[in-house]
Amino acid sequence: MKGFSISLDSVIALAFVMLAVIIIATQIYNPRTPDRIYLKELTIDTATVLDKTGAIDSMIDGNLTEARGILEATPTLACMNINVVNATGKLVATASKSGCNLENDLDLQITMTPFIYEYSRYTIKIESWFRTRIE
Amino acid sequence: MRGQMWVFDFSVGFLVICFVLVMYILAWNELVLRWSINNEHNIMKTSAYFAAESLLTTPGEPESWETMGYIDGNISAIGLVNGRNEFNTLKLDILVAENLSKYEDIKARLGLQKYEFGLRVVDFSKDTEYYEFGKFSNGDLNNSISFERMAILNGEPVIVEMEVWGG
Repeated sequence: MKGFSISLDSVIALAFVMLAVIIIATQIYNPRTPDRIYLKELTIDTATVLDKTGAIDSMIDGNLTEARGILEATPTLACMNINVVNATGKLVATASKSGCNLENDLDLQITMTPFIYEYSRYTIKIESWFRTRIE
Repeated sequence: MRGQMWVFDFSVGFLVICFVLVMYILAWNELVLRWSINNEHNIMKTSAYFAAESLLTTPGEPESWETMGYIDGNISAIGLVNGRNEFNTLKLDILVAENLSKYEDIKARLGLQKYEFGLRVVDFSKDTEYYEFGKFSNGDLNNSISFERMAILNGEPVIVEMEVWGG
């Protein structure tokens, strides 16, 4: 009976060790998906399209329609928030995609690009993230 | 009696350890299979995103390959834009014209030889289709990656729909 207890004890211990190995392996192996690359590319696309179609010029002039139209055309799960800041750091214009709320736990990316309009320097700052649910 | 107990003890212990080992091997195999599928999917995604980046942000190599009027071995990389995200319509025309005869060759230059590839240029409302190249799965497959990029065609913003699938 003593031998039986010892063998049962060791088998249970072995089972626990093996379970621990599986749990540790699943935690360690956590490959990074390339979705972050896609979001970065998409954000730079949006900045380029905003710039080359004159939507940033319109934003600085106070017309947000064109910029909002471009933001709304981005993929459903992508969220973006554009801020145009002048050389003194003052916020000149801002536009956000509708239905997107910036939550604390999101994997936020920030892309900044310089911009010149009527001999004045500006910085376009785009915050982008993937939303987890569609509202 | 003592010998009988020992045999019984050994048998039960052996059976239990075999059971634990078999369960462990099955669980491990399942994990490795999932990792492998995940890994393959990530490789496919990365290839798709890099192909899209090549098409939408580079003019190709040589830069003015569209002046040749066709795609052949002298073109080492295919890009469809003049500046970043600004489509060159002549390059798009040639790409679409070569769809039937050079599809495999074009895919290979984009690093997508293992997969099928489709590209579509549409307006913001997705009602008007300007260009279409390659093959789309039409949602029939699980191992498919569909994504969108943005670009400019003739001064107007457009959506570029892409799908990489199969493999």
